[in-house]
Amino acid sequence: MNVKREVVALLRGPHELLRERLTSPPSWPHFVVTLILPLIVIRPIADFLASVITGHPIAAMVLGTSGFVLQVGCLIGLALILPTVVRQFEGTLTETQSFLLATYASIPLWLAGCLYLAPDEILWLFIISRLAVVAAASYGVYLLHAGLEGLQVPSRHLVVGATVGGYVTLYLLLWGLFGVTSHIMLIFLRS
Amino acid sequence: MANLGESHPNAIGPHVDIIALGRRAIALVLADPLVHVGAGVLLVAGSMVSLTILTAPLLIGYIRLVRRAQAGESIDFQHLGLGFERPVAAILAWLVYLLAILVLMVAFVLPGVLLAIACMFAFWYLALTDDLAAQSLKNALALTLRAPGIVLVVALVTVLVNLLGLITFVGGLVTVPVSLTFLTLCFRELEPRARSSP
Repeated sequence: MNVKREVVALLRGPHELLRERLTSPPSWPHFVVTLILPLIVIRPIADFLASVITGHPIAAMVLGTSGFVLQVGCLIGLALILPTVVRQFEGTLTETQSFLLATYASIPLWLAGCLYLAPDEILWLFIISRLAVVAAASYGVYLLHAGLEGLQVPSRHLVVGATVGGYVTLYLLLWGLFGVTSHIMLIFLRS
Repeated sequence: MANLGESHPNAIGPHVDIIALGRRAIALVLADPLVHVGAGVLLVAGSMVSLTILTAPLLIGYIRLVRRAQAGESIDFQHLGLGFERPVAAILAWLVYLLAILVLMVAFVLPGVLLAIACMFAFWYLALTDDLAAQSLKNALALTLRAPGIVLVVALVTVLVNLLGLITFVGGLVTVPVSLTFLTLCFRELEPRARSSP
């Protein structure tokens, strides 16, 4: 498995790639090391660099670590939410399929993490970069739907809607808590 | 090398119909809205005035009030007092729960959030099965380990409903009793199923 090839395949033919991966899953360590890790660290590195460039090294460490934990938390959360929501609508999804689908649906958002390098001070650039992040997340929603279609899960629109609702709630909850904790930590470290 | 295809057959755990339980919770609150809304306000106000020390007894009182309503018995504000039958166990469980979350929050939030969700049903064990403080926390953790997906979804539904309620402020008057009733109904359905699942 190669990151570049997986990402290109996900853009060119998501249905084929998801069908192949969901029916014959790759090995755990290989999947985590070659696909998840390199992509999930993009946003933390972008957060880190953006703060270092603006001359805030302590904030860079706190934000970088928070960003990494936030992404991991959201991935685990999505992998847990998905089979439960599918079951609400009388479908079935194994733990493995759920984890794989959660990973592939998160890839566009992870890739969009590089947009966090855009400085917050330039308003138009900030707005455009965040809109691009939302667009990437929307492609993730499409991938989620495509994966569920391949697995012939019933009531796919409702499943995707409920899953996105749950994911956004989880993201906002974690993001809010990380914001508060990071501020407290920064005040403590600076003093 | 371990393959991703080797999934545990019971990994998803027991299941409850969240939509049906949500409808039942709304129906139960609407059957006696004055008592439910009033009790919800008393719970929140009592918690804030006592700096959350009385949160657990009041919460347990509310859970027992819902149990009475579910059984078709009459309910009143005074039933919040049912949570003060064993206040020490309730307050201790609350303090341990709160302290553990605060300590784990320091380790980049996620462990604290996981523990908060994993042990959230401890107060339902205290209220409905008369467990002791430590036992209630252990049982709540065991319940979550058996049904992690459904517990997470129930917690997120509760957070989402209350966020929507808080945005409108007045909506909180309805969403607090509805979500607590919903959690009570979920616990009463989920707990026996989780206990009997392998």
